[in-house]
Amino acid sequence: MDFPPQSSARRAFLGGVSRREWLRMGGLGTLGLSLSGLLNGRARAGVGVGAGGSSSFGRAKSCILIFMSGGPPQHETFDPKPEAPIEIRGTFCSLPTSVPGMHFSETLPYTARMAHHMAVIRSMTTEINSHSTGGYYMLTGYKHSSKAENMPPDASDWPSIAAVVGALNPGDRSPMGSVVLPEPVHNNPNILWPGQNGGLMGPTWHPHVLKCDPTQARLHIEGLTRPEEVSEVRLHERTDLLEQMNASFLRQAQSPGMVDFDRMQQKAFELLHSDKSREAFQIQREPDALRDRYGRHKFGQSVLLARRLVEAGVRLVQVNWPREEGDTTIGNPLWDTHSKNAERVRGVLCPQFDRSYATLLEDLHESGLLDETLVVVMGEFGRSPKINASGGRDHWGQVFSVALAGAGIVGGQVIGSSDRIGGTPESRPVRPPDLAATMFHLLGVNPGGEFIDPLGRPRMITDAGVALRELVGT
Amino acid sequence: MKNALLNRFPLYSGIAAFFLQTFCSGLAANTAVLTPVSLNFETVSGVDSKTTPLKLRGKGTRFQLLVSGGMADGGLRDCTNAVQYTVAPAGIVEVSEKGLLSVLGDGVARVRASQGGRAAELEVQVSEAGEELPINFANQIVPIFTKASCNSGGCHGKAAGQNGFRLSLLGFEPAEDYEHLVKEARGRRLFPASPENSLLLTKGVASVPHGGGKRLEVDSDDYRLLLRWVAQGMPEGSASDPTVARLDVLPSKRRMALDGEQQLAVRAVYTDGSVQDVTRSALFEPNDKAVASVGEEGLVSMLKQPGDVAVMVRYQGKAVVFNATVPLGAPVGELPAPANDIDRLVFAKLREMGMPPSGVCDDATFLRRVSVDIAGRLPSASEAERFFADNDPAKRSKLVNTLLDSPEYADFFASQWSALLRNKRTRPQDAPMNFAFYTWLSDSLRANKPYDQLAREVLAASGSLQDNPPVAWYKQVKEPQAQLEDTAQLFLGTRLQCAQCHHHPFEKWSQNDYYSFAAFFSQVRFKGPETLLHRRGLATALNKKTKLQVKPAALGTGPLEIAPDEDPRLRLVEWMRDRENPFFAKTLVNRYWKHFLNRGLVEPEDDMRDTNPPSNPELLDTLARRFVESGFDLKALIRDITNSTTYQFSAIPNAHNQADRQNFSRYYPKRLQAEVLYDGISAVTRSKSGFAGLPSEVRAISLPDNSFNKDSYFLTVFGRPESSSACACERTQDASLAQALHLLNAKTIQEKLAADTGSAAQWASDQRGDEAAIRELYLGAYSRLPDAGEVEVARAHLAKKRIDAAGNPIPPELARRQAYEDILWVVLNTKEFLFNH
Repeated sequence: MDFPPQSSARRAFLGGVSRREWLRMGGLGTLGLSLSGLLNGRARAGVGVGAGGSSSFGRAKSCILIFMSGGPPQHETFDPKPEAPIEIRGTFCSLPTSVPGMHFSETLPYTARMAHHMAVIRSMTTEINSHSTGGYYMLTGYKHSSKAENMPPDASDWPSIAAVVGALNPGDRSPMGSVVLPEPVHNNPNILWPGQNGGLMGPTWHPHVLKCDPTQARLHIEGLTRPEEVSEVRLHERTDLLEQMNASFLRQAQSPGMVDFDRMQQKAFELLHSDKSREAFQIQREPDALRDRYGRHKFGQSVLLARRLVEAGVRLVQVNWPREEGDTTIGNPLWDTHSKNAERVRGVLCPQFDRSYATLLEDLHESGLLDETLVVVMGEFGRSPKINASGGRDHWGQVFSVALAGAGIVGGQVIGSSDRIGGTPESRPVRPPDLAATMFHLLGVNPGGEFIDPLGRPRMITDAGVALRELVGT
Repeated sequence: MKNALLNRFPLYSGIAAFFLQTFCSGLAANTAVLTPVSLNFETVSGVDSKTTPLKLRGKGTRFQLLVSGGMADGGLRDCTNAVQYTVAPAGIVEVSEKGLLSVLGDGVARVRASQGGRAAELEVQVSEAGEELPINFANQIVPIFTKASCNSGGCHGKAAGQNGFRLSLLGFEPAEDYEHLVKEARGRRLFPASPENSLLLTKGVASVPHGGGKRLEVDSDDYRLLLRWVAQGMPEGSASDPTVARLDVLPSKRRMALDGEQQLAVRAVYTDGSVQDVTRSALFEPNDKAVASVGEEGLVSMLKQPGDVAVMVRYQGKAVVFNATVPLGAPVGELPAPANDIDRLVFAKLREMGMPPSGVCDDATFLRRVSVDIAGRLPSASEAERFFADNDPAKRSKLVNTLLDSPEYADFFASQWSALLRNKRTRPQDAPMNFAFYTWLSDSLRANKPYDQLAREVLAASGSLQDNPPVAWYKQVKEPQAQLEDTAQLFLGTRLQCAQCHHHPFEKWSQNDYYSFAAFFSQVRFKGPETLLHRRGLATALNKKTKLQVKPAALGTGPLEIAPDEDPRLRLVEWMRDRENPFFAKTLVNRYWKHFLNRGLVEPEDDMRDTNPPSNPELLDTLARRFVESGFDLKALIRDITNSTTYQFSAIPNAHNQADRQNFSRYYPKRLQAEVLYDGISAVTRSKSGFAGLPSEVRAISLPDNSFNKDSYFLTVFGRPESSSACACERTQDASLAQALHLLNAKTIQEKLAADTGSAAQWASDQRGDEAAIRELYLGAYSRLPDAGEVEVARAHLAKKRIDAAGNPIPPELARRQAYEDILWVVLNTKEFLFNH
C-alpha cells in the first residue's frame, strides 16, 4: 500500500502553513465554480433550495451508484417470475426476503436479508437495446440521439449524473467532486461509452476517474499514487521547494486563470498530503473480516473503497462493474450473458454482487450512515424474458429493475411491476429522467434547475424528470 | 380610441424612469461633488419634457419617472431617488419617493422634482382615469410569462410543453399561446367567473402544487393584471391592435462610478406611435457580471470592477442595450510613444478609463511571450542568450518576423484552425484526409495565403479529397444546417443555432434568416464518397416554420437571385469578403486579438452581436479596416498586434490596474495550451514525445487531428479540442484538479524527469558545474536568468543529503540526479512555467 500513515513531522507541516493557505484559497469542495459560466448555472440550479419545500430534498449527503455494466437479468436478480414457463423463468427459484411478500431470485440470498432497506423499481424502461446508448440514457437521464451501438463520446453529450452532482453540489469536505471507480465503462474492444463525463458542461466537470485495482496489495491510482521512485520524504521536499519558488512569482503577475490554478494545486496537495484524504485510500485499514465480507475481488473492494470515499466527503462515487482479465475479446463479458446466463449468474456475477452489496448496506446501516447515503444499483438494460438457444438472455430495454436504498428511502417497497414474463412494464413505467430527478432531488440538486452550456444556452438538469414520489415523499 | 397614447397596461406600466446615480460611499462623502447644477425629467427618448407633457390614460396607470442631474463637470447622473417630489394640484397623480407615478383622476398636474435649490417640472395630463382599458394578450399577458420564465426552454416553452401545458418559447408566437391557454383547455386553466381560482394563477403562485414552484407573488402587478384579464373574459385583442415596433432604453449610455447605480427606463414604442413604459416587464442581463448586476426592475448596480458593461434589455422579442462605462479614475500620466494605431486607440481608452498601464515588459518576458503566441513553443536557452546579447533596437520586431517565417508558426496556427474546421478522425481510414487537410492549412498559412482566399477555398470547396484537401470540411460538416451554423460562428462571429427552432432571443435573426442562409449550401452534394460537387439547380431551403422554400440570403442581405448554373457558395464568399461586410474581418481580427491578448475585444470571440458590444469599438473597427486594406494579410495583422506596445505591457500590475480585465492596461497571463505545454515539458526535460505512429520528434503542435488525444491523458486533461464543433470554447483553458494532480504526481511526468538521456541525468554529470546547469534550466523554462537567491535555493537543494525510503544514504551521483529531477519537477509546476505571462 502506498499511503502509509503520516509522520508527525508531516502533520506539523499540514497543520501549519499549507492548511491555512488551503483555507484561504476557499477551502475544499468549491471546485473552482468561479471558473465558468456554470456559476450562473449553480444559482439557477437552485442548489440547496428545497424543491417545493420537500423535506427529502438534499437528504443524501452522499451517493454510491453501482453500475452493473452489461445489463443484469431482472429474472435472476430482483424480479423473479416463478409462475412463468421454464424457458422464461429459468432454473432458479424465487426466494423470500426480509419483507413478507417480496421475493428476489435465489441468486441473492444475502441481499434478500436487506430487502427491508430497499426500494426496488421493477418497471424501469428505456426501450433501447444498445449497451452504449442505453447506458447513456441511464447515466445521464437524457436519450441519446441515436439508438445505435458504439456511439463515441462527444462534446455535445449530456453530462452524467455523476458530473452534474460533482459540478453543482460537490461535497464540502473533499477536493473531489465526484469519483468513478475502478474504470470507465466500455464496449468490446475498449470502445468508451458516451454519457460518462461532463459532456456539454465541459471537460472541467468530468468526474474524477480513479482507475485502480483495490485488490492489489499496493493500491495504485494514476495521479494520486506517488511514482515508486518518489519517496514520501522526497515529495515533501519537492512541495516545500515549490512553495518557495512560486512565492516570488505569486506576488507579481496574476490573472483569474492563475488564481484558479492555484486553487486546484492546493486541492491536489490536500489529496496527496492530508491525513484524511490519504486515509480514505488506505483500504487495508479495514478489518480483514470486513474486507472478506465485501469480497476479495475487484468489484467488492471497489465498493468498499467507495464507502471509504463517501465517508471522507466525496458526494458521489460511481462503481462500475469491472472488466475481468482478457474479457474484451469474448462475447460474454460483464453482465452481458448472451450465452450460459445461468452459469455466469450462479458462478461469478451474483455471488460477487450479492455479498458486496448486502455487506455495503449492512455496513452503512451499522455505522448509521445509511440514513444519509443513497445507494443505487442499475444497469443499462435488462435481459430478454426468453432464454435463447445458447442458454443466454439477450438485451432488453423494455423493462428491467433498479434498486435504491438509504437516504431515508422507505425500504421494503416495490415500485411498479413487469408483466408475467418480465417483458414489459405492467404498471408505473419509470423512465431514466425520473430516476435521475429522484437522485438529484435526494442529493440536493433541483431537478428543474438549469446550467449554462458553452454557447450560453440554458440547459435543463433533467429532461423534465419528476422525482418518484414513492421515494422522495410529497 | 382603444390603446391610445401611453399606458396600455394600467396596473402594469413602469417607467419613465429616472436615472439613479447614487455614488459609492467614498464619493458620496463629498456632497459638493454630488450636487447637480440642473435637473431634468426624461420621459421618452428624443422628447423634451419641458415642452411636451406626459399623457397618461386608464385606471391605475403607473409610470416610473426618471430624473437626470446635470453635473458641474458636464456629466449626467441619476437623481431619481435623491430628489423630492411635489405634485400640484392634488388628486390627479401621486409620486412615490422613488419616482413611481400613479394615476388618481382626470386632469392636468405639475410634478416638481427638487434637490439642493435646483428643480425640474413635468406636466402630466391624465384622461380616462376611471376606465378599465381592454387588455391585449400579446402585448400585455405574454410578457408576464417571459419575465416569470414560464415559457423558457426548460419549462412550458419547450416543444413538448410541460405537464400538458405548452407555451411558445419566450413568447415568440402569441397566437399559439392564446390557442393553448384559452381555447384548448377552456374552463380548466381559466375561470372568468372566479378568476383567482384559475389554475394559471393558483399554479403561478404555487397555492396548488406546481413543478416550477412559485413564479408570481399574490397581488403583485403581474398577478392583478392576469386576474383582470381573466375577469374581462380573456380578450385576445384585435388584429388591428398595435404591436411593438421598437424598444427604447433610457439612458442608452452612461459613464458611472464604481458602486454607482442607475435606474433604467424601458419604453415599448408601438406601431401606432403610442409609447408604453415596460420597465418592469422587461428582462435585464449584463454581459459582464463582474462589472454590474441588474435588479428585476431595472436598477443597475455597479460593482467594484472598472470597465464597460452592456446591459441587454429584452421585451416582446426585441432587444436593446444600455452601455455603461465605469472608469477607474486614477491618474494616467505619461504613456509610452504609441507604436501604431492599436496603441493610439488602447491608450485613448486607458485615459478615458483613468487606468494607468503597467510598464513595458523586459526582453526575456517578450521573447517567451511572443514565441509561445506565434510559434507555439518556448525559446531555447541558446535563443534566449542570443536575443539578450543582440543590441539592435529593432530586435523585437526582427524576432516577430523570424517567428512568422518559421515552420512552427504555420504548424501552430494550422492546429488552431484544424480544430475549428473540424478536422476530426472519426474512422481510422480517415487518416490520409486528416493529414492532407492539416498540411494544406499549414502550407496556406506558411505562404500567407490571404484569409479571404483561405475561407473561400474551404467554404466553396469542390472536387475530390485527394486533389483538394479542404473538401474534408464537408466530410465532417455534413448537412446544410451544420454548414451554415459553422460558417456563421467561425467566419462571421454569429451564433445562429438558436434561430433554427425559434427567433433568436438576443438577436434580430429569425428562422427565415436561418433557412435562407442554409440555402447557400443546398446544392452541394457528394458524388461517391470522396468527390464534392455543386449540383445545378435553383438553390432554396425549406423554412421549417413556414413550410415555404426560401432563396439564399446572407445576414441582412435579403434574398439573392442566383442562376441555377451558378454555385451559390461563391456568392456567399463574395459577400463575406466585401470590404463593407460587417462580420467577416471583425470576427477574424477579434479572434486573433484574443489569441495574443488573451481576451477578445468581444467576449466570447464568436458571439458578436449588438447586445454584446466590443470593449473598444474603435479599435475593433480599425483592426478590421486595416486587415481588409492589407488584402486580408494574416501575418501583417500579427505583426501589428505583436509590435504594439499594448502587447508588450508587463503582466505585473501597478498600484491601480490589478482589477483591469478589459482594457489591456497589462498583459493577462494565460495557461499554455495543452500542446504547447506538452512540448515545453518535453523540451525542458529533453525527453521524447512518442505519439503513436509518428516519429518521436513530432511535437504536439504538429499533430494533425484529434485522434492522438485518446492515448494522451496529458493532452486530454489540458483541454486539447476534439474538433467536434466550430466553437473556440472547445479548447478549454479552465483549471482542473486532474491537471494539477497529473503535473504533480503522474508517472508519465516522472518518467520524463528521470529519462536516462534527459536533462536531469545530463546536468548531474555535467562538468560545467551546477551554476551552468541552473542557468540552462532557467533559460529553457522561463527564458530568463536565475537571480542569486534562486541559484542559492537550487544549490542548497543539490547539497542536501539524500536518503532512500529505508533511510539509507543514496550514492552521491544518484543523489545529484534525483535532486535535479526534483528541481525540474518544481519548475514544471510553477505558474511562471505553466503560464504565458
